[in-house]
Amino acid sequence: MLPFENIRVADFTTMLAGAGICTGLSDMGADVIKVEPPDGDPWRMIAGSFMGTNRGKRAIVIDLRKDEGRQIACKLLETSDMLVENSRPGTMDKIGLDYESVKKIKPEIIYISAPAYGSKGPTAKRPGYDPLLQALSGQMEGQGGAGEVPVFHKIALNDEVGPVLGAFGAALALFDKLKSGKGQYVETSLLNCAVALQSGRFIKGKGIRQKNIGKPDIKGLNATNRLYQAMDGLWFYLLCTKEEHWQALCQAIGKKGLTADPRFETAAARKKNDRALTKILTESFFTTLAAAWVPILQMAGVPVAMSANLEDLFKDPHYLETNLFVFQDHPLWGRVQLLNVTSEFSETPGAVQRYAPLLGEHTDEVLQELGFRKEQIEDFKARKLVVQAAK
Amino acid sequence: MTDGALSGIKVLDFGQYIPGPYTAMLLAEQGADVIKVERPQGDPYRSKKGFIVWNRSKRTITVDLKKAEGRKIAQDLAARSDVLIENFRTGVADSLGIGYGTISGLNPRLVYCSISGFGPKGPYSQLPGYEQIVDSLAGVYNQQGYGSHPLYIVLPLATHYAAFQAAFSITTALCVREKTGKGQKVDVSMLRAIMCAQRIHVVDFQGVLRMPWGPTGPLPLYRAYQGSDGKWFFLALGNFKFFTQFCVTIGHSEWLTDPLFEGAPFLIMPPRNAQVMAMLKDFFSARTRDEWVELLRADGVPTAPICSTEEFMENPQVIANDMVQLIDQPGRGKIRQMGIPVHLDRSRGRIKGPAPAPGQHTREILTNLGYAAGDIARMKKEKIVK
Repeated sequence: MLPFENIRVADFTTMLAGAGICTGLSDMGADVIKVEPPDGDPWRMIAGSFMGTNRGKRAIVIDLRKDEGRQIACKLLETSDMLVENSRPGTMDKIGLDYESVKKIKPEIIYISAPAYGSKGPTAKRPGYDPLLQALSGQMEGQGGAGEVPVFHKIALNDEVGPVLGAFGAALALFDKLKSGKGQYVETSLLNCAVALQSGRFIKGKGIRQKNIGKPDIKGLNATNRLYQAMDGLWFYLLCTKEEHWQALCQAIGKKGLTADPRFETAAARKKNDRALTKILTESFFTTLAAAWVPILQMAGVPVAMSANLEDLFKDPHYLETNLFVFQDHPLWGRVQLLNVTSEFSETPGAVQRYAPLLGEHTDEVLQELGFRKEQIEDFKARKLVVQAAK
Repeated sequence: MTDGALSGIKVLDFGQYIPGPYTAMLLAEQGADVIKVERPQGDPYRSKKGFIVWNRSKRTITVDLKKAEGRKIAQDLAARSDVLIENFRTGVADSLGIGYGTISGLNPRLVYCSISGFGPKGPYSQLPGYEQIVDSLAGVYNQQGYGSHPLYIVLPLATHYAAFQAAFSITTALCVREKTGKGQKVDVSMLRAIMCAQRIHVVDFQGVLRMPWGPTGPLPLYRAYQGSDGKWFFLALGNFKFFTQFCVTIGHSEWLTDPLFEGAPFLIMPPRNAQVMAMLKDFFSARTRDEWVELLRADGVPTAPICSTEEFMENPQVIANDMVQLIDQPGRGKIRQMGIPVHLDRSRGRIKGPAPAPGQHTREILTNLGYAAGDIARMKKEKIVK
């Protein structure tokens, strides 16, 4: 049994955050039907990104700008348990698919919105992208340092919180509906996500001082808690969090004398002389390969890890052994390796249901399921209300 | 309007540091009744500023799980709970008598969530689950870096993504239980959570495109620029329509047909991209940051100033969406902090109260379990509870 089997999700999302909500639900067994305009989700532009974000779904094309197109969408909603959208507030109203309108078709629908800035407030209608929230929320300045070049995070920080908190909201509403029989409106936003991701930083009060430790070239927190480069040019992370780690480190690099050096004897002293210690450790670590340092330090009981490259991830024995990946055969791209379901359930594990769909790949199939006859569907296509991808 | 979606759900939170506690807080503020169980030495993160956020809306009991009677209390609480959360190192929960095997035997309906660094199995399962160790092995630092070296990430991402995944997964398991009557084990790892957050990059196939990278942004029309006053703003021309509007707004409509900009906004290939970047850098130095932001925003061009987190707390949009909340923290005064990030319109969540002091509800919780006042006094004296 899959947790959300028998739940149908009408997915009107585009890009990353909203689309990811539906992918999370698909991984839990939901039947997710992605509704796209004739031009498709702009996210399709980068194949790999689209594949990673939209696997698990079926895709249909409906022209929602036309009345009859909207009527076809409404037929889909009659059989849907959930609608998910992430357009600018007001957009769904214009095409008659806002919550109040959809409730008339499906009174107990669970309607999930993931707008950029929230549906209330003075800037609700501004265009939103993850980096704009990174900029506004202090994430860029927090990484690069105050007054320094702001740093863009390669992980789409807020766009990746959105899918998970949105899925959390969906699960909450489903749980409530199992008991009450009632649907409702659920909202999260990139704005809320940007706050939630800074839970320990987004705090202001008497006696509370937040320090910006960001730096343009930041490698870590201090000399014994940071990235180091070895002789082979590869990097690893050294993480001493206890006094015994420090002792073991000095032993492992053949510099036991450092523990008696007044500059480094205590944690306070090490903080004061951080630069000098960093220099000593940098030089030490340059004397041999990263592949040697990691086991040496591990055996000494010092927390350490290689800093992996993206390419390394696909072959990492831990990831392969623990089924972090799934392998799919994509009609356009051939063999694809991508991420499996994120969390693991002992009784009802999720599953990646299918490869990321081609534009309009399932239009015929879904419309037939909805009860339209073949001639009707051909007529819709002729009038450009719907599009089916070539088979 | 009813109580939060999880009202009536009892959560037993053995979490320490961030992941377990934050997950439990997110559930508490959607209606769950959360009891935080602390060991005598207390949650090590009581000294961190964020403790008051990750642990608000809960009650707390201090129990020594190394003592037999302490273990019995924990097990009794688990027998009456719907959810248990722990983020100890693999094996520790078992050694403390609150492992999945024991607890599921006592309470087959319980949803048992373990949050770990790398998951319960595999070569990395014994590695310490520190943020930096996970991020290193997940390729996060090398990905963030450019040129020849990796970069450290300041925000504890894997920790946070794991908490969000746990909240989603626990709630999903509760949905399953409504139908089957059974609980189960839910394993969430920081590693899988941060991998999921890299989902658009962790894809491999022949011909995959790997984006070039740099600190202010990967692409000339999707990056940070400075105004004449040295202040920064981010320009995010995310589609052709925005590129068009941008050109019109700044009075350079001819760029729309200029071969230099071919492929705009996302596919301006090297070496043209460097040329465009240099050109725009120069162009933007004509006015102050705020002037540019105002000009571009007036025409709906996506842009935003680079702000500090403190400034974000004053942002009217953040306040309008109830994401700044003032909580009275005993002994500390009123503290502004995050609101509830997921909003359900009919089953509204709420912040239930400030983070508790150690052992604040020990007596109350033990009384509810059926312990007499005399027993509670004795157990306090014998340091089984505090």
